[in-house]
Amino acid sequence: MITIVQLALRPDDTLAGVESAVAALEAAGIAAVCVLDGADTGEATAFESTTLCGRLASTTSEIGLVASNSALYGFPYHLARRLATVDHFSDGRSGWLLRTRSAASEAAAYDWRSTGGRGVELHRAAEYAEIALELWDSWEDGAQYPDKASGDYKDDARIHRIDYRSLAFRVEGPLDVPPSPQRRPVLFARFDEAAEAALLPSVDVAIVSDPTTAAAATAPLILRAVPAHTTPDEAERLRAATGAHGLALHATTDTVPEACALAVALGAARSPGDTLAAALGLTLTLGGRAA
Amino acid sequence: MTRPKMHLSVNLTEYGRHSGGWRHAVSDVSRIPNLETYRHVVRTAERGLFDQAFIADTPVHGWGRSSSTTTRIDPLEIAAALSTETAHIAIIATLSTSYNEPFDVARRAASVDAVTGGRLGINYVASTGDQTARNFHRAGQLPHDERYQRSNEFIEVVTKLWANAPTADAAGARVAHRGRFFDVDATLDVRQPRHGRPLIVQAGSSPAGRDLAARWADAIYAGGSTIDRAQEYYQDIKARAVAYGRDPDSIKVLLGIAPFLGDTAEEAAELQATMDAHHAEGADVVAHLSGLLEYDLSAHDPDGPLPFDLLPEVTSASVSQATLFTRMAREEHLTIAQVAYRSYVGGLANMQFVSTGTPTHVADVMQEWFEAGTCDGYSLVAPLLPQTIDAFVDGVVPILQERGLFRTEYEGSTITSHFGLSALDSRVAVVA
Repeated sequence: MITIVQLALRPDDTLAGVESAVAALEAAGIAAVCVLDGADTGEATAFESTTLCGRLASTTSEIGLVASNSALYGFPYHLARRLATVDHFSDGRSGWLLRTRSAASEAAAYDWRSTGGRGVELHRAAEYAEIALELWDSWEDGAQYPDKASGDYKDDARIHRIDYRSLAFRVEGPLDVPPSPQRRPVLFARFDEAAEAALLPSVDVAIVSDPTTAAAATAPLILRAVPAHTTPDEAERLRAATGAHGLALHATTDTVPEACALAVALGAARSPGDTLAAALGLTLTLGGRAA
Repeated sequence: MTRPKMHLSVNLTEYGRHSGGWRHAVSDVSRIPNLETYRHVVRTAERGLFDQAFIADTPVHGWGRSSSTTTRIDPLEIAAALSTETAHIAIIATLSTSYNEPFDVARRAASVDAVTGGRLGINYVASTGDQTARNFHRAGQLPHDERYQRSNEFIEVVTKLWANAPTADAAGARVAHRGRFFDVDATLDVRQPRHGRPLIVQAGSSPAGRDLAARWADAIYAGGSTIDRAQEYYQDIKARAVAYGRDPDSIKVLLGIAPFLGDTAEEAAELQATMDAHHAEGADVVAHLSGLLEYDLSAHDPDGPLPFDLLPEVTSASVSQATLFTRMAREEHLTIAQVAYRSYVGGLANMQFVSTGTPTHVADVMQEWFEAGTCDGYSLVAPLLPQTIDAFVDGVVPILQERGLFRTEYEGSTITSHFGLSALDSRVAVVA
């Protein structure tokens, strides 16, 4: 069964501790680890998710690396660049968990401020994702072709501006990063209620906790969130009752052994050399706005 | 007191900083970005006891032919991913103060500091160009002086966030900052970097750039095409630092040098000529210079002088480069075609001095400039990677060590130990 782990970093987690926990998850056949940092957990930690995933790209070889990054704050262009970089360094194992809520630490830390309305937040997150998707798709196949004889390094005619304009964002593009092995990271989001799932249509993997939300989610892959200490039978019962395709285990470095045992009991498996999308059985579509 | 030793940095790029690098026979272009070169260069630079490897950055697509040398992947992610390759050398990541939010940078840089074990430095740049601005919700860039005002305030906010960040022993404190560019009321949710903040590096030769550097920087990447000019810059930076109440030794000036190395002088000269030719072949060099000078030179005789009286004051592109090429043309009596060729083939290497020859020759030149008081060390604007770093570490480093000019072992494994600093002052005093 497709199983991922949401690893919530704790304040006292060390680099060595996190790395050995992720190595254990990789050995247990977990498809992906989704790193939750202080903005997700509300507790300050030593690491931020996207940069820790950059490091893990070099210490792991098979497990998917899903970085939590706000879809409300900062710049979509930077998000697109940093995750394309992780995809390059990890040979196509990158994912993005869209953080669509304003964490306490960041509520008054950025230029943009949330009014707290979920509709407004999710609309902004949907645009943020759309921009990133268009940037990742701004190079046509074959646009990068270093030809030493002619001196042509790339074909600008096959690289396109995105010219995205909305009330919130203006991004010209194209992305400066050449296409990565997966072309783009796999997009993940956690949904707490059915209305949320409908407002964020572009995600590939929806993490849910109830059947109504699962039914409303348009994502091709739906995972049921369960704690790491759940028994295999109970985990399977919850997954089936939710109508989900797989499981998203919630763990900390302390409970990683339980998550590994559960994954092994459920027959989690991954093939060497798989991209994250392949490990999840997904075919990634490109582009943002429909043509 | 022992004689001060040189500090060394290398520019980390895929094929070297020379635009013709990728076309060289030794360059592997089978996979782009060329991550294996990044890995090889940091390992080799660490074998050569370098202080740091530096990643430049401009977050925008380079249209046209001459854009194969820029780093196009995220510098903090590169620093994190490369941290497993080495244990001593520091990585300097470039970050734009015009197109970032301080809180995001404070979080991510603190995290990279943690994964590298305190081996992170940040090169803050104001970024130039309207095209870059258009990736970040702006119609165009801010005027030159405002970009530097924003840089100052940006560094101020990130420094305050780190100074008040949580540690293993204490909870973080809230930072309430309300300024012209930023309104931040927050407590950092990532722990404080090992030395209180990452090392601060700056470049920039305009008066505003020098002032920003003297106020904040632990190290500066400097350019200088003659000893006189480099001495003037060195003394000016140290004097400005003193005016800010700083110890002049707390700011290290690293002079850019582009060494073309060969076993013989002929071999080195041939390497340089080959790379220049690779890059310039089929290119409209006059159009390139027109872009830099913001003046269309196509109607002028390429074999005549630059029309100095007609050139506008450059404001939107990089002022430093336009000034440099105009001065070069005037002082060396170059034709438009000659200066255009130079501006095109050298790229950034023109901002530095180029040294072409055997390892002994390059070591001689480095010693001469170092002892003339032009710098505290060098930033290798490596024209061809990995060739330049391999040849430098195997050929030049042993000579510098023999002459007592360079370390024979690392003093420690953090960025402060490389610079002989026991701790970094938080610079909060500067803010207050």
